[in-house]
Amino acid sequence: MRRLTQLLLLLGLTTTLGGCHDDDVCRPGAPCECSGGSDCYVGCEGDGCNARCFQLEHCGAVCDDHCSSQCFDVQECSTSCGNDCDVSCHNAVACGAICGDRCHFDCHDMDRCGVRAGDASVIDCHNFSRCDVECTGSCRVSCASPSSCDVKCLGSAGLTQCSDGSVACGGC
Amino acid sequence: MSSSLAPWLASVALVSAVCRPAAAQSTIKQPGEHQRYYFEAEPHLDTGLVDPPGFGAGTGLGVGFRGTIRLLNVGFVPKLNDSVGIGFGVDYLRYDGWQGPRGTCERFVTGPSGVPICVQASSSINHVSYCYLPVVLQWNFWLHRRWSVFGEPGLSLYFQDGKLELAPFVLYAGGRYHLTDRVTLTLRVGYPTFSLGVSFLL
Repeated sequence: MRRLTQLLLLLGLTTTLGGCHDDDVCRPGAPCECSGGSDCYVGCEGDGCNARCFQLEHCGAVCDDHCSSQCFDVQECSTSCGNDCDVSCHNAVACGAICGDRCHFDCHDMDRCGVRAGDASVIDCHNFSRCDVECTGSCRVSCASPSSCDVKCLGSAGLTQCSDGSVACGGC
Repeated sequence: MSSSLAPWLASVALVSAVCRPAAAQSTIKQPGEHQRYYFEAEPHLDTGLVDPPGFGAGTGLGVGFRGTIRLLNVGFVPKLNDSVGIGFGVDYLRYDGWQGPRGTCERFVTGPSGVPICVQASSSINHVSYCYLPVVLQWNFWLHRRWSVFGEPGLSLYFQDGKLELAPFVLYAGGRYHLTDRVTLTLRVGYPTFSLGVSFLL
C-alpha cells in the first residue's frame, strides 16, 4: 500500500506538471497574429482558430471551421476557411476569401474585395472600388459606397434584389 | 513531572521510534554502500513540457531509452555515498506546436476580384517530431536503501524536421525508487524532457 501511494504521488506530480503550458503558436482557441515584414501565411489546423494579420505586404490565414480572421494595414489579405467563419478585412488594397457555409465576410475601406462563400452566408462590402461575390448557395450581400457589388449565384439559387437594397442568392 | 509535559514527551518518543528505522537505513554517509552495477538500462516514457530547442512548441509525448555506464563507484565527495556515470540516450517525442517561420504559402488559388487566396500554408503543420540524443554526466547520490537521486548536466544532439542540431546544454534531475536491489522506478525532470521509466541495474 505504501509503495502504491508513493507511485501515485510520482505519477500525480508528472500529471500536474503536464497540465500547464503556454506558448505562442497558432492553435485552435488561442489568438495568433502576424505582423511586420513582407509575407505571412498563418496555418491553423482544427476548429476555432483566431488569426490576425496587420502591417504586412501579403498576409493570409488558412483555417478550418469556426475560424475568425482579421486583416488590416496589409497590401493583400487572404483567408481560406471552412464553415461558420468570420472574416474581416479593412484598410488594405485587396482582400480575398474562400469560405464555407454560414460565412460572414466584412470588407471595408478596400480597393478590391472578393469572396467565394458557401450557403447561408452574409457579405458586407463598403467603401471599396470593387467587390466581387460568388455564392455557392444562398447568401445575402450588402454593399455601400458604392451601392453595388458584382454578385454571382453559382448554385441553384437565383439572384434577388431585396427591398433594403441588398442582393441575395435565394430569398431575401 | 507536570502533566502538561507528558503529551510532548510522548510525541517525541513516538517520533523517535518511527524515525529510527528510516535513519538507520540512510546510506548517504556510507561511501560505496550501494548496489554494484556497471550499466543502467532505462526504458521510459517521455514528455516535453516546455518548448524544445528549435521550432517545436507545445507539449511533446514520446518514448526513450537511457543507458548509463558507471564510471566511478565512489564519486566526487569522499564522505558521501555518491557515484558517477556517463549516460547516452535516445528520446523520440512528437510536439503539438510549431513556432517556426510562418510565411510560406504552398498553394494559391485566384479568388473573385483576382485576389490570390492561399489555401495551403506551410505553417499548417502544427506537429513536429524530435529525436534527442543526449549525452550526460550522471552524478548519483544514494540516499537510502530505497531511494537515490541524481543530477545530469550534458548536451544533446537532436533531429527536428529532418535537420540535425545541437542543444549545447541540457540538464536533468531525477530520483529512483528502488523496487528491488536491481530494479527502480525512475523519474527525471529537466530540460528539454521529463521522463518516467524503469531502470535495470546490470
